[in-house]
Amino acid sequence: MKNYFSGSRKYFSFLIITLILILAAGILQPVIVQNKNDNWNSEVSQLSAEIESSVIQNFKLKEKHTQDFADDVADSVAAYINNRSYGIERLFNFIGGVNDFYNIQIFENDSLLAWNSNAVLKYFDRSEFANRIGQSFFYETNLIIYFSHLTRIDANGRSLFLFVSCPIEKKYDLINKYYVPLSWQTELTEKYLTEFNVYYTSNAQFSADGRKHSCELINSNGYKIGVVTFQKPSLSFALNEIQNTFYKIQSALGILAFLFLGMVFRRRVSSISNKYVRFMFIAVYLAALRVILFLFEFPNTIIKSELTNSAYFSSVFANGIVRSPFDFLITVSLFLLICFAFFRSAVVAETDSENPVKPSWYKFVIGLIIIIPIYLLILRGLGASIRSVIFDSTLRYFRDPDLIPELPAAVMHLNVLMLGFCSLLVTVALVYILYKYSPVKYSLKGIYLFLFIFLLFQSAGFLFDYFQKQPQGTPIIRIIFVLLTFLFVYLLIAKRTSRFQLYLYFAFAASFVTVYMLNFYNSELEKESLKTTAFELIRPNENLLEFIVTEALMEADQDNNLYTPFDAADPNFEASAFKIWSNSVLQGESIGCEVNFRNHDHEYLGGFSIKFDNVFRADPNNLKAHLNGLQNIYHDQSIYRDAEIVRGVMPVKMEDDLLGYLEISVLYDINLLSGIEVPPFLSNRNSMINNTVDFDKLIILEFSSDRLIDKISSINISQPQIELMTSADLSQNNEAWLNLKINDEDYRFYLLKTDFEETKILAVGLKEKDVSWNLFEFFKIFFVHSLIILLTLLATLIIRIRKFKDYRLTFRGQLLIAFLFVSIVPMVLLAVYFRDLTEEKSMEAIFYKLGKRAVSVEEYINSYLHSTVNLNTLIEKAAFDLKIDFSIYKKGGLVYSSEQKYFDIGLMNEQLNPIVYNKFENEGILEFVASERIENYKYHSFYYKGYIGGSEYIFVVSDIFNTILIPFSDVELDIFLFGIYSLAVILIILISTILANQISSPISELTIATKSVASGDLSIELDENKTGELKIFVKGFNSMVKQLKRSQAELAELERETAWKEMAKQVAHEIKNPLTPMKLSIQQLIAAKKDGSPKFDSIFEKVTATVIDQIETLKNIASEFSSFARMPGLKVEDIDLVKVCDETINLFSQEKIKLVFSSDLRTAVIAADYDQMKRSLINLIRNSIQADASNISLSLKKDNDFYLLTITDDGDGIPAEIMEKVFDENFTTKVHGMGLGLAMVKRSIENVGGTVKIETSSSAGTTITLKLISKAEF
Amino acid sequence: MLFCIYLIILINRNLQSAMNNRFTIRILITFVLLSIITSAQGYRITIEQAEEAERILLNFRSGLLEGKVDKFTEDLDSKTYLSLANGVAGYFSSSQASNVLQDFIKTNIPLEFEFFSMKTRTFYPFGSANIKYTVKGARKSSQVFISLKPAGNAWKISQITIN
Repeated sequence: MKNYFSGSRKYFSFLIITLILILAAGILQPVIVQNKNDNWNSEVSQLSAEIESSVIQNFKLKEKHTQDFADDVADSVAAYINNRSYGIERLFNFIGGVNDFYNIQIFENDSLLAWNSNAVLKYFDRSEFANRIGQSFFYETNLIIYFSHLTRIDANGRSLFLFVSCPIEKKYDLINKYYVPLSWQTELTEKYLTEFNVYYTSNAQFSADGRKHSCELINSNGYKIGVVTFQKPSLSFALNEIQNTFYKIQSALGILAFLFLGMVFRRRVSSISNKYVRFMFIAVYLAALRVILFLFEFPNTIIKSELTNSAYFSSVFANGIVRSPFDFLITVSLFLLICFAFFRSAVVAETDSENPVKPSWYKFVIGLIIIIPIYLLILRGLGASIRSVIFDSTLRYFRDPDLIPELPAAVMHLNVLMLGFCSLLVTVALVYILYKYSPVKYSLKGIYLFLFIFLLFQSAGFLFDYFQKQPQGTPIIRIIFVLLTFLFVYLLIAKRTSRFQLYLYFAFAASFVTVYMLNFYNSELEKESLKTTAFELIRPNENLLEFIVTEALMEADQDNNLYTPFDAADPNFEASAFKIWSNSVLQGESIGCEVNFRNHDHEYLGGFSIKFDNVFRADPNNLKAHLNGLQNIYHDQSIYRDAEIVRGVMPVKMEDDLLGYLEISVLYDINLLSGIEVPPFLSNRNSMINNTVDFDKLIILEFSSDRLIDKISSINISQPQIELMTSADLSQNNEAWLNLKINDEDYRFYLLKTDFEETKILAVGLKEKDVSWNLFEFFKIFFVHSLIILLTLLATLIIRIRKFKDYRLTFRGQLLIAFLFVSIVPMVLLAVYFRDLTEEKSMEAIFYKLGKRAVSVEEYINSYLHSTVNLNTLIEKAAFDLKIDFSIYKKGGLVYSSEQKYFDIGLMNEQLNPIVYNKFENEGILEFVASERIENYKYHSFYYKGYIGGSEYIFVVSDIFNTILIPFSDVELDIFLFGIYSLAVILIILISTILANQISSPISELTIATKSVASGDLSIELDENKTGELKIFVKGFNSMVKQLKRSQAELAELERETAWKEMAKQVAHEIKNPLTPMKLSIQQLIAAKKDGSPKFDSIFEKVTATVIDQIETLKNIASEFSSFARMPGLKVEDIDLVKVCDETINLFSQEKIKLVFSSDLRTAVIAADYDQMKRSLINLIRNSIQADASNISLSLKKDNDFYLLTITDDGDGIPAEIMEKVFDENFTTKVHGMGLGLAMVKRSIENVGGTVKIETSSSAGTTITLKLISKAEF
Repeated sequence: MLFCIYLIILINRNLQSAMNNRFTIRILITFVLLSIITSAQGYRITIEQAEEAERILLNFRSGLLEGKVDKFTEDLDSKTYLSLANGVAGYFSSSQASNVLQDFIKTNIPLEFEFFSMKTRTFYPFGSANIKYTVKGARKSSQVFISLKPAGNAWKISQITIN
């Protein structure tokens, strides 16, 4: 059974099951839908009840946490107070270190005693909170709603009130990276997938809308504190969800079925003999898989994340098959598999094949004609893809200085690297195929042909780019790419580099090429962004401004709490205006605007403005407001700078009573783009005119009638430069590009005619980047790619650990690692230290400058202070005259701030920082630097205890509103360090590699020489042209080898002599034995003849028999000795001729000859004695060297059932008269030769059934062929 | 314009003193003003151009309602500004803008779309509309602003705001 369901059958079974499941899902879906439809009414009630129960539970949990926390703090505070030795500073320290999430305030006698972080309650009125003691409730401030708990603490005769609160709902929304979103309402909406509204007051009512469900929020004391209303689950949505779910299931099953189908046919495809047909099957299958994934919208239907967001990247390629970073990842991964399959078919299968391609000139030329255009198209495709990565993406790979990118950018880096890798795989394979068809290889002609093909590709590339309208990339990248391709082909063919090593080279080369291209296209994008900036600047035309104002008023009108500030006892119009601004389209448009509340008489009550000077504010007498309930949108012209303002005014009514007006004004003034600074925590992260380049780096100029009328830049433009810009030739689209040198720095400008009547020209310019920026940009992504490559390498090593476990690091490798470690580690430490030091010094500089400003403010105020001067007016004058933004506190409360509006709104707290308060009041410190935060924007504030007219005040100057210039900002420092040090690391790696090679090469030489000696080659001699100990070592080695050779010869001679002597003795002894009876017998016969013995005949018979016997014996003796004199026994085993040749070649690597081994075969197995075969090759090569050959080539090929190993040299050759004798024993032409070398070669080869033959020999050289039987036939 | 002035002078010369100079001057001034105004329309938007702008705006409407963004993809500029209710905002290439809009209307399924203001005989034609859509079963509405800009002889959608 188990065997039946194995292999393809197993997958076929899975396929059938999957198809059945798909069918089942298709049948089940309408049934479930119908069931849902029929039972919806009861189900919706149940669902609503479940949601309500879950929400209440959520609320209860929040309450419990808050309550428990408050109780713990109360107990601790009581313990502190009961301890008579406590000081107030300890209380501050305690509550300051408890928990950042909760705000804690302790009141005594209605005064604030201690607090941590934000002081939520501005003041505490016991009577107001009397009925809330010991309870949880919602406390609402202007901007945030808190979930609070009030506890009474009685200790040591004192009565304190502990107010603990945690924020639960923010009423405003900011579009920037510092904003921390907080909304329980949104949390519930996202969790339950239905719209929620939470009302945080006890007066809230249930919704009368039948489509909604409401429930009360009851605290643990049984009091209602709020109402939650949510949209009941809708049937259409529920049915839609069911359909979506089934669609997802069926899609997943469909994909699974296709995968199983692939597994079913896998074995059959693997068994196809034609490698190209096999490749086609694989490619078609993988392409079909991608199409199926696209049709089923996988993975977008399942995964909802930033990786599937097309706002990050999407392309029109193949009808939208790449519409997000994740789609791109899937597409390029499958493409990589196809490219790998192609590479393996073209390269790997080819070299393993026993039937390699038959080259010919005809095939070669056809190949050239076909392959060159394909190659260039691939390169163009790569360029186009990289361009799309830059232009069709909102990711700015080079703008942010962060080294580790965010996830979408990291995935795109991986995609780009894989794309480059694919291109190299395919192009290298194509060139390899081309070279294989070349009939001239492995010779000088072959090398020339290789170079010719290289030049042909370069020239074709040049022509290809020349005739294109829009060439992709640059000539340099094309040249580098072609160079790399051919380099890799060379490594593949000549150096026989291992595949693993080759893939590693591919990876780094792909990284280099793609990063270069990314950099190039990013520069293009930055230049293009100048155009975008120009269009953005002229975009806000009056139509749009009117739309924005109308939209903002309509959004405000929908807010049920619009009338609240008019009705409040302590109205805060500023906060209300800020909320309107933050929740409206005004924030997203990054233009100057103002939101104001006015009373019946149009008088200004309060408001919020951004990039909007007070001089543009509407005159109450000119405010055009209707009383009939409609908005009025109109245009206003300010006399100040001739700016255009669009205003909208809407009455605010409660029932029919007019409470006042809401006025929204938007302004468009180009110069205000840099005029009024927007604090970072309020700046808009989107568009902001240009999100490719920092806006501060741009130069914006406006010309009218050839005069400069406006500019945003600190750089001064000279008159000739102005003339150049105003007289530039504009295209049909009224635009032009211009390169200018300003103050010896290169700038690129985009010019756009903006007015058809007057000659108004807008110029947007950007400085060309310097070296450190270019280096940083290159290495930033190269670093990420290197990380990816290293991680992949690590993963591969772990997976294939068995193969690598016996791997040992070479001496050269150890040296290289040592050099790198010794150089890079101290350098990195130095860089880190330098960075920390610079950062520290920069901070000190900032604090020093802030401190100086604080002291300046104090001195200024005191210098102008006298009895008739109003202090507030004087303080305002100080801010205006000194151009310093500061705040002043007295006794922990704010008395003045030049940025009062942020305190009025509630974004900044009017209560002094508790740490500072504690330090100044209780620890006696006079100045302090505090790290503070608004949202997630961190800044520093310098607190200074000063005096005004003898009264103590605390002056605060912070770097959030005061720009402090330092030599190196954090960003600039990181860029500089990373760029320069990356270059240094690359140089260190190169130099270390060279040094390691130089130091280890003599050791390698010696190692190889030792191996040669061990193999029996005693003719080896190393070059003594060295210095120092190495020279002594090499000399010693050479001398040792010579001595060894002499000793060996002497020993051989001695042994031969001894052997001969012994053998002669043995032979003599053995021969003597039969000779004695022979002599005796003959003597007996002679005696018998002399005596005339009658037994002469019998004696004759006997004697002749004896003599013949003894002669037989002598003959046997001779045969045995002859057998004994034969060579030692053969050890025949399977050996790989290719390996033997490779190893033999290596033994001669130090010889001053060119020794080349070439073969199309990856292996060539024969049955032979390994040592003898190797010795034979050594002998043949040594003979060639001794014949003064400088070029020796070994080539191995298969000829039916034989392997033909040909040794060709360009030595002096063998004279014809001795040609037939060279293989004879003891024949030699050398003075010191023994004449056994070639004889041994012949014997060794013939012993294994082969033959050796001198094909040709002349003064031009000799060719000897060994013919050996292949293993199968042996 | 000059011809008109000449005609007026000619008529004036031939009329009797019943036609006084003040009247003539007023006529002259009127004609001069008219001439200035008409000559300022030197770059007049032709009817065909206005109709083409309207076609693009209506095409956009039907593309959104049908859920087929590719209906107006080719009308998108190479740098289109999008500001959508789901928080996406910025400049996008035409292909990217197409995909972003497609994603938007997949989640926020348009139900109704009506222009309440459309101005096409201008250098920057635009339209303002109300859009009603459903998201996660709940109905919502937003304002839409779409503006075009000239690109050679054609119009391209340069901005789409749905808030």
